[in-house]
Amino acid sequence: MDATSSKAPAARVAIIDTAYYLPETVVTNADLARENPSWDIARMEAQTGVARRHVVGERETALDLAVPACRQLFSRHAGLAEKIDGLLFCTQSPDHVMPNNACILHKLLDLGPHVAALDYNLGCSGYVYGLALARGLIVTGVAANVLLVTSDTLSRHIHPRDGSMRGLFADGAAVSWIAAADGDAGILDIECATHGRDYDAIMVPAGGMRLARSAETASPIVDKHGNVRTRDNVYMEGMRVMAFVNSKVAQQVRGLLARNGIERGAVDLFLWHQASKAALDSLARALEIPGERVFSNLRDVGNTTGASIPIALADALAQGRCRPGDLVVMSGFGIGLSWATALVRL
Amino acid sequence: MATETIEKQQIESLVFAALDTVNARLASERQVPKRLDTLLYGDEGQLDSLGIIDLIAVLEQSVHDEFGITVTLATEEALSQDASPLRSVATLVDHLYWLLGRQSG
Repeated sequence: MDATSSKAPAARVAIIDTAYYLPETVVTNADLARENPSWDIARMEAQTGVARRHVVGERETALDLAVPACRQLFSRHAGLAEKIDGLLFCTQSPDHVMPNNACILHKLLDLGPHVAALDYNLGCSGYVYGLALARGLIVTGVAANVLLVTSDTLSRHIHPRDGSMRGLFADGAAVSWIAAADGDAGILDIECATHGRDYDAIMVPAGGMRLARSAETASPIVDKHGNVRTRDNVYMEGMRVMAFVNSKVAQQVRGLLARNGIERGAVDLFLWHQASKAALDSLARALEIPGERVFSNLRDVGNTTGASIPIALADALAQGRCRPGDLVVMSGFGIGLSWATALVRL
Repeated sequence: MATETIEKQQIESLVFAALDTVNARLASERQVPKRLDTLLYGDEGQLDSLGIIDLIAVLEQSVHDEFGITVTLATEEALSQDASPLRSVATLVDHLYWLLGRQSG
């Protein structure tokens, strides 16, 4: 596929290509079992579906992961770096409070001056939200070629003794080139939503302006099941999140398909945010989608939050699970609580 | 099967079988007693969030395999009730019986 470089507003916008990068360090379930003999690793694996996950080193950041992902993309498309005029960086783990990662990535990639570059703070819904933002920039003529970067290092927010979180989450970066569509390919529809009343269902309480990190916030809290965290760490109330996924996400997917007059059976592949095996199975049951039309790379990649959908897309294409021309549904859901679904012709 | 009457005893058996599956993945000191009065979820519950999600996933699949009916146990409606249907084995059996009755009837 190629994309136009004109800055004239485009009617339809497509995901032209996607690349990703995972950090070198791999933690397997056997590693976790050796480190934490009291953890129920079999249950963890059955529920999460994750056998191994990539995690950053002590001084490695989401920005560091984004750079090789972008360079990989540029290496496939000669002259792309010069065409980029939009840069969206979704992360919850920026290098600094200010400035944003997008500006630093702009420097590291040696991009030109005519680039609209900004960060936005979202987790697992971040990629589909980013598609909506990129599409907005392109259809209004603000940009013609957008880099959509989703990169996070959730392992840095998890207490090493929190078995409820550590088995699931992983680190990784993905980048998609978004530009005017050529032919039938493109983003057909997107819906984004928020349920702020449950903002505290997934949360890192300390570290912002409301509650600064301190010795007090760093003191360990042990729940009755033995999971340890501090208020500097991420916390997730699993059942509330599961109920949200089953109620809101399934409803949004049904609604988006209905308003586009598309039957579930006409969708070639469902690319969910790789939340957990239990969540994906539950969604598939709720929507009555056969397993062969749901893609998962949880086993080897884990839940990379905002990067999980584009990583899944790249893997699904590489494995021949989907191909150009296919109709796919992408749905991301998580912290906020927020959720978003896109109907995309590859 | 979906149109036949489903007995409460069948549902109780399914829930106990699901607990067997969940217990097989738990250390011996964290086994969940197979009794109707066992508290599952909440302040006094035997299962943490991973555990209750594991139980629900196993149970939803079992119901689908056994009765050909799709049920969703973890919903905002279920969690918002004053007394959560997931709080004990007995309330879970009752809730499932009600859900299946509604869907099969």
